[in-house]
Amino acid sequence: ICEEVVKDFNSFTFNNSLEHQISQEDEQETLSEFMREQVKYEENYSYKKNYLNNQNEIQSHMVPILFDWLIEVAHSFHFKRETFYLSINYVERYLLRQPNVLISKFQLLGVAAIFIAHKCEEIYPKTLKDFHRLIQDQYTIQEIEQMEVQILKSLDFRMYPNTPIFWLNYYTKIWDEFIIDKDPCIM
Amino acid sequence: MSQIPLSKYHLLTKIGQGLYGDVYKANILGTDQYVAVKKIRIYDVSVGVPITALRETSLLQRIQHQNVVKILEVEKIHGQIRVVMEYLKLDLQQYLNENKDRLSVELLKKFMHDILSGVGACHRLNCIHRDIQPKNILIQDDGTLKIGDFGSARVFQKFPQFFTSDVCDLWYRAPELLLGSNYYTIAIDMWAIGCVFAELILKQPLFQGENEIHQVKLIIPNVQSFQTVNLNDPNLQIQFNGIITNKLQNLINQDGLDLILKLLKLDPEQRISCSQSLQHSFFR
Repeated sequence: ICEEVVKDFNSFTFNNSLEHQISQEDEQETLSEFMREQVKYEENYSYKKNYLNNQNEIQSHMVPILFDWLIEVAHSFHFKRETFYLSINYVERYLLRQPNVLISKFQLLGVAAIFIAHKCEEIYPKTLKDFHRLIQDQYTIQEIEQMEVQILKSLDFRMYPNTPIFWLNYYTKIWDEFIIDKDPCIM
Repeated sequence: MSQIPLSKYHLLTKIGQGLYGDVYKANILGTDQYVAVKKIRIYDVSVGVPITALRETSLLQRIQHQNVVKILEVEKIHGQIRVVMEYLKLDLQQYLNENKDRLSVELLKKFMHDILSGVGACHRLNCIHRDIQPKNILIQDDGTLKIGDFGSARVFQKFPQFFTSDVCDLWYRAPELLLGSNYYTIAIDMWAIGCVFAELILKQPLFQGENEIHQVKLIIPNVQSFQTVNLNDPNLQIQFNGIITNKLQNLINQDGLDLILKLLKLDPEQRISCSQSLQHSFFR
């Protein structure tokens, strides 16, 4: 992820002057500075592509199944998209840092991740019971609580990564400004 | 409870009460270094780790800046979570209570510069503090100000989003919040900074409302109905500028007054940002 962003960053320096002229709210701060800062933070928050290498039981085809299930959970609770992307980030970073996660604990990891994510993002938090009902008694409430603390610990409480939604918003904002400025007839 | 052998820290005295637990002064065992330890009270077992604690620690992990309070460690002892932060003796409110003299212009500049760069660092990382008041601004021994207490902070996207409107201390609450808007931006922090700035000059809070309605009336005196207030009405702004100018006229130079008026714009869209304020001629 990091390399990709750096690549983006290179191509975006070209538009620097453009952003600088248009954006009235941050006159002093250029795009490249903003990007450089964000990229610096990505290093602590992103996962590597080969995050499954130190897992014995978890196979690559199981991860999308968990994510599909997390989408359903987020949908049924009417969570924001941001919440879902946060939980994905937690799961992947946890897998990178904790070797040999048991397959029997894989769904527990998913539940705990989205539980943390919804607490970070949503206005009206749900209770542990709501999540417990969702997984149909596979795990106890205590297990979810323990898993939550374990995730927090292994991710060093770094629970605010830049999600894809953040970058999407960012790029569309630049695109909007570009269109309004350069080519009014498209609108 | 204060002598748990597992802990690296020895709790000494209680120095304050946060939103979600008590704050203790503590020293690291075997040394004479002091830290502040926040014991997190778990109100409700059904939500696991309390939300405020979760948000505060993860945001402080992300924002590392010389004008923002540093987080040192999070430890879990006997099911209780403790957040360890650097210890700062004074907060701005205590400082204002103790020093009765007017602050010099140099000191005002330094304080405002510190506050604006601290809050600016949060804003650059898409974090909105939502509870800026003198109590939450701490003073280091060398006079540097640090922003603390991120208990009600949260992340945001660039556009106004739907959040809860019950944030900020009443005296520092921005007009759009008082009028019940759930859509707001980082501009609410800028309003609070403006109020703090005025307080540094006046040595007392700028608007001391008793309740929300009184608070609105202090800002907009002849308000008819709360539903029809139009915050970007230029006449309202002129009238409001008059109130502020009257209060502060002889206490601050022209540049300072201009900065306050720009921070205290009724319309959130017109309020200036942290990076713009740092460029203001007041700091030259």
